[in-house]
Amino acid sequence: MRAILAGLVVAAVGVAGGATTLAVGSAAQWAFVDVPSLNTFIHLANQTIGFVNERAGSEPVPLIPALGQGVGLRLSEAVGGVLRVGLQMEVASVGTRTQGTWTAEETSHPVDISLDVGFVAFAAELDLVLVPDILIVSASAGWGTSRIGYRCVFPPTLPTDWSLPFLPKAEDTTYTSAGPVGAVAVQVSLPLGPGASAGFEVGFRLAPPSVPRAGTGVLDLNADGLGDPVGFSGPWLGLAVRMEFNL
Amino acid sequence: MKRRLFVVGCALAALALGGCTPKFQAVPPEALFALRPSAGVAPLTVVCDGSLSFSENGRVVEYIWDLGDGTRALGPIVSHTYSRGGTFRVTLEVYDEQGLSSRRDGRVEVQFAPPTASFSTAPWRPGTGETIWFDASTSTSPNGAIVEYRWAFGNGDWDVGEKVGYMYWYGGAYPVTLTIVDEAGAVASVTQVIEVQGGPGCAR
Repeated sequence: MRAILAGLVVAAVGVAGGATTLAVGSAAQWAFVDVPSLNTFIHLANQTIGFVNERAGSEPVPLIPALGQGVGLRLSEAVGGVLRVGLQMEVASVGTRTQGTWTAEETSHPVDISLDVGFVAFAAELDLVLVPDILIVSASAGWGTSRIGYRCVFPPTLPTDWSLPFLPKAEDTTYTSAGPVGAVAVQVSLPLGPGASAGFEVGFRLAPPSVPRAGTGVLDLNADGLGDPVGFSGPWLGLAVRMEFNL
Repeated sequence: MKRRLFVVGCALAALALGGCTPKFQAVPPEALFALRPSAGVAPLTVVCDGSLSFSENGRVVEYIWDLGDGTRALGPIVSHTYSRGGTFRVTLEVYDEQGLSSRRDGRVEVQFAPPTASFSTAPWRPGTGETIWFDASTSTSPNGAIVEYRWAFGNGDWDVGEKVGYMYWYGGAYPVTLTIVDEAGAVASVTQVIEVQGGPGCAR
């Protein structure tokens, strides 16, 4: 086994032509996530809010924006030549919220629903330098954890003579899940000076959905008795800065 | 150069396929409805509005209601009258254009309508020592049979039965109360004052 690893390292260094570089990079991301179970809950909650808005006869509560875009940051460090190996850490976050109050018969019915989704991953990275300082393709695999903060204040009785079997569950809970994560990315950059370059990065993260938990409870926002699987897969677009040092 | 192009091509293909992956996930529709009213006294007419249901895959094409009392109905909005009391589970099952379905339950609480207690007496002007017949057969219940008739004769005595006889030994005005219980457990009572003529122990 050690011989195989040593062979791979030798091969990698050989491919690199003997020139070894330490590359340190960071990329601020505009991340797109696809979380259908959370967006289904948001759709359900919005249907409920919209239904009550039409009948409560008071100031409407704004609908909840769907979860789709967030921000992220990727930090990486890799060693090698044409082929580089290293480690990376990635964080990303998306969130949404609505706040408002229905007022009926001098009684206030406050509504405050927020969803904050965070993601952290640590991964091993393999970079292929196609055009030095300009074009790099990287792949990574590792372990990621996601955190879903669900905060909800919702009136148990609605200011209308209609009743709905689904109401957003009033609670303040943080659910977590963990699982494997993989990503591929392409960096296109321009040299800024000796060892420094900056440019764009586009990538796609694959984080299989799993059901977040909080203690013995599972995330079930749509109240169908089944857990809501949440993944963090999706593309990202980033602004990347990279520093390279010859070793 | 070809190899590099191949690698870049593979990476872009992976991105494109990965980006499309969520589109292939089958997301079932969501059944969502509103009830008005969801509680009341029988007979209770309830409007069930399932037009809040939605599907991320297109339209909801079928609405199937199970109204909990053995009645089923189709359509986004239905109306149903519960003639008897009880707790009824209303279930809406929806199907979207892709044939995917989901269901959701709601509950309607229908209180039993109270029975009506009434009775007649004979003779019209009874005297002491005379048997008075109390007849509760005019009592009615919308919930089914009346299972208990209980009489309180206003002097501490009591009896049970749909039709009972009782004799007062002292003249005077006695508030006679009939309490009935139907098979649903609903209770009603009525009180009439009976004027008994004559002195103690004197039969007419």
